[in-house]
Amino acid sequence: MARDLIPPGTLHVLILKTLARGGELHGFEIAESIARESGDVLTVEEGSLYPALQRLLLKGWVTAEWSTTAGNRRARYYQLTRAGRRQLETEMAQFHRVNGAIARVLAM
Amino acid sequence: MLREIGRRLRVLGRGARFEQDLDDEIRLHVEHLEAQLRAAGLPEDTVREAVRQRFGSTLRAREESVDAWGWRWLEQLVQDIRFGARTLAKQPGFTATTVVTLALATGATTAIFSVVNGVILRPLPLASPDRLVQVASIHPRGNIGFVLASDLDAYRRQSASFERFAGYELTTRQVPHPDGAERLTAVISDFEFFSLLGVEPIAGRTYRTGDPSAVAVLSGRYWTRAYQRDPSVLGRSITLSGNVWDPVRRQSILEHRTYTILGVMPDTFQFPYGVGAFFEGPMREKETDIWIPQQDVTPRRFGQVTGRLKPSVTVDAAASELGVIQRQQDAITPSQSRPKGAVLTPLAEEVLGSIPRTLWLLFGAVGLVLAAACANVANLLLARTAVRTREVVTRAALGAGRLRLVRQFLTESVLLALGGGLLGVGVAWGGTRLLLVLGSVMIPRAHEVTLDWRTFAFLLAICFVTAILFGLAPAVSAARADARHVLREPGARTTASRIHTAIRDGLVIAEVALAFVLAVGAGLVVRELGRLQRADTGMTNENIVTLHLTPKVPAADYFAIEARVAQTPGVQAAGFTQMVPLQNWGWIGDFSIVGRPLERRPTAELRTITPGYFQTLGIPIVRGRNLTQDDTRDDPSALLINETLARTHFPDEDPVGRELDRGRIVGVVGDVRQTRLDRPVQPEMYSTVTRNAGIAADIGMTLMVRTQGSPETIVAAVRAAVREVNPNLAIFNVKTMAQVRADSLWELNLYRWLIGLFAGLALLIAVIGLYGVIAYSVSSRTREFAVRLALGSDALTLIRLVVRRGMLLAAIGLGLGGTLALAATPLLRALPSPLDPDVTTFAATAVVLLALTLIACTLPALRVVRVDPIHALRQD
Repeated sequence: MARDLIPPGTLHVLILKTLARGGELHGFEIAESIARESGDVLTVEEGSLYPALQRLLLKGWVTAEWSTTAGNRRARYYQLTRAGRRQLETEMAQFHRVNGAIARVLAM
Repeated sequence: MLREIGRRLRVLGRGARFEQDLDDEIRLHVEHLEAQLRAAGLPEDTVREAVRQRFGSTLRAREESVDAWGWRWLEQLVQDIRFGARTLAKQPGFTATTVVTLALATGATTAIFSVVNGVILRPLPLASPDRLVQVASIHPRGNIGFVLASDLDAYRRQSASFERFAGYELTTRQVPHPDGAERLTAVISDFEFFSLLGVEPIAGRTYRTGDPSAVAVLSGRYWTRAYQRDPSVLGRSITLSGNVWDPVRRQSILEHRTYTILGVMPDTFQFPYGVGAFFEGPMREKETDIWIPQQDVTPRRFGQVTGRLKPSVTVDAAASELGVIQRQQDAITPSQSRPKGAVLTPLAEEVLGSIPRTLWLLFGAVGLVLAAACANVANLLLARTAVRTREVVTRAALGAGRLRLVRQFLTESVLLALGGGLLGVGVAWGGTRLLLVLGSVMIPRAHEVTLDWRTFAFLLAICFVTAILFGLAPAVSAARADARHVLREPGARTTASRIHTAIRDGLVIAEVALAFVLAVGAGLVVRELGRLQRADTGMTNENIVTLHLTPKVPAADYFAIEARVAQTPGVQAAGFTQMVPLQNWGWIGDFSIVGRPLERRPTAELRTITPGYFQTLGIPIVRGRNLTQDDTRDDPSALLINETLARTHFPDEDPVGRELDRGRIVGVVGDVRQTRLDRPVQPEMYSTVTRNAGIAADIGMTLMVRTQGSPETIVAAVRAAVREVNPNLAIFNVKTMAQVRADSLWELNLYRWLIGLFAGLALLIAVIGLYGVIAYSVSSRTREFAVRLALGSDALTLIRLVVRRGMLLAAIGLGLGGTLALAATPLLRALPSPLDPDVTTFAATAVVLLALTLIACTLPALRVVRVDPIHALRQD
């Protein structure tokens, strides 16, 4: 299971994107979703996921609510806010621009 | 940004539940992970091993999630405070000593600051007080004083520098009262007075130009005292009686007038300031009760004039303008006696005089004491840090950050400082009250001094500054503690530490010297007070009650009262005097002896009395006869002189029968201490109340009554007798002569309190300083002592070694202090009330100091005995 770690500074965009697609998710579901969507290339550890979620809460980009899972366990579900959606769009645009540029340089 | 702060605060508000939620969330995550691995068919061992490996990650998740909200510092602060409080509570002796020292030092500093704040820093509670100036005239003989009414008129008409002026005069008025009459302090002003000051009344209105003259404005405190703050007082009338100078008859006459009450001023309003300075002796008053406009006849001059400068006009420019106007007046009506110039003093300066210098000096002195207290606490903390080195090293080894350690130590210091500050509030409150009570006569604006937010801000700032001052050194030294260093070279003494030791020793020596000087001073003041309290005054002070009476009434009334009171059962004798002895006041006049030409006219204290006065006070008539009611002001009037005057001017002859230009000597009476207990007897002259009807009529007369038993019981009977003779007489300042005598020492009493408190503080600080130094040396030499004990040294020898060092420091301090005190001897002898240093005081102070030193050194030295060699050596 030697999966790659997520480059620094990108975890929160991944979380925002995951929430944008998946609606309400709890922490484990977010980690799983990122791993699955990346084709098991990227892995998110609790040690970085939960602090990142707290930072997103602080920024007001996500909100959280306690609810019960399918297995009837209490879990905290995260949801994108309007500010979070705007932030995601900004960062995606920036990501595409920078990545496009890097790709062009590397392609030469 | 604001919302972010809101979110942060919400998280803080959730407290422990926030962390509980995080734990739940992370546990759920791990459980899901476990389930996932199991579902993948991994063996149970591998699953458990995988989960165990996640431990670091989950720990990090929790820590960093908490950190995300930025409340870590607060959490640590709470931890630090808890830890600090526990540490301090474990050493109650150390904590109590430190807190009490700090409380006394910060409290004393704050008390003086609150007076400095109320008296100097806060602007006068008047409209734009910086533009108010006191106007006075320079008179031909060079004295500065009253302003001619004609000059004031000219200023008003011609000056371009001033917005307005007000002239006023301080006097007394009597008002009817169920007990006879009450005396009020009154200000008679012109109509500009209130518009000049710009202070609004709390009820009704003030008088202004165009108002009738029979109106009055009350002070808030008189309103409370006489009318219980009844608002319906407005429009009511008040009848005042008082002495008014009759220019035609050239004497003071009693006048009654009725005034309509227009308004009431706020309790804090007092103008003019320093009313007490206008009157002396029993007349010393702190407050004005009533303001009335000047009467229909414009006075010839004003005792006091205040002006308001136009904005941006300087005092100098205004003064030269008034000078020009005065010279023009001189040209119109030339006269030798006309004033020769104008003097302007900013009002604040006029009100405060030299008080700011005194207060700042006091503030500096108490600041020094505070600094010394801080240095001592730093020493104590350093001694403790040395003991705690092992704790510090262990904590550092376990991963406590260096900054965190510094913070821990600083937190403890701040806790100590705040504890001291909290107690200091009480000290500050009490100290301020004490200062105001003792110094009320000297301190202007005393009635405005309150403990306000500025005082508390100051106290808080002082606490933090002191905490950093005394806390930083131990904190830094703790942070520098290097585990390897401490373990390898325990107790190693570096050059730096030797310098530190020298500084500490020097500090303690200075503290002991200062304490010695102050304690000697306090001892001298106490001794002088005792001497004066026992001093022979030349008169009886027992069973005598004094009652002051105003206004001045015809002489016949005084004789009638004297006779009536003397016949009251329980009364042995009664008599009047215009000026009670020992009140630091007097009336000096010059005289000449008929038939003896002298180059310079000699002077004598002049006293106006009734014949019963001498018998009442037990002053003997040594030659000739007493004065009688028949000795009138008719030529030649009869005079009594005292023995000193007789000895000075009639050394070889009988003065009785000799003529002075002031009258004929009919007798000689015994010497008494007239002005002050500590002043030698002056030449004196007595004449009866029938004479000098005009002299200082405002002062009134004091009735002295000697009783058989306790003097207080007779007061009601005396009041009745006075009321029967003249109901207009107000009786106040009822005191026993013993009280008068005790009160006359108020200045020395004030010094005793101030220097006594300072000396006490300095002693405490010196003792704590000695204790700190010795404790530090013991704790830093624990290993050395342990080795010595292990090698068979006697514990007593070691204790002696430690104590000897403390005694040596104290001895050097004593020597230094003694030299300083001796050097100050000429200064002490030159004081207004001279102090004479003596061997007894020096020796007694030295013994007390050495005894305290012995205790301060022995306590930490005893720790040597408790050193367990094995434990101490193994420590390293």
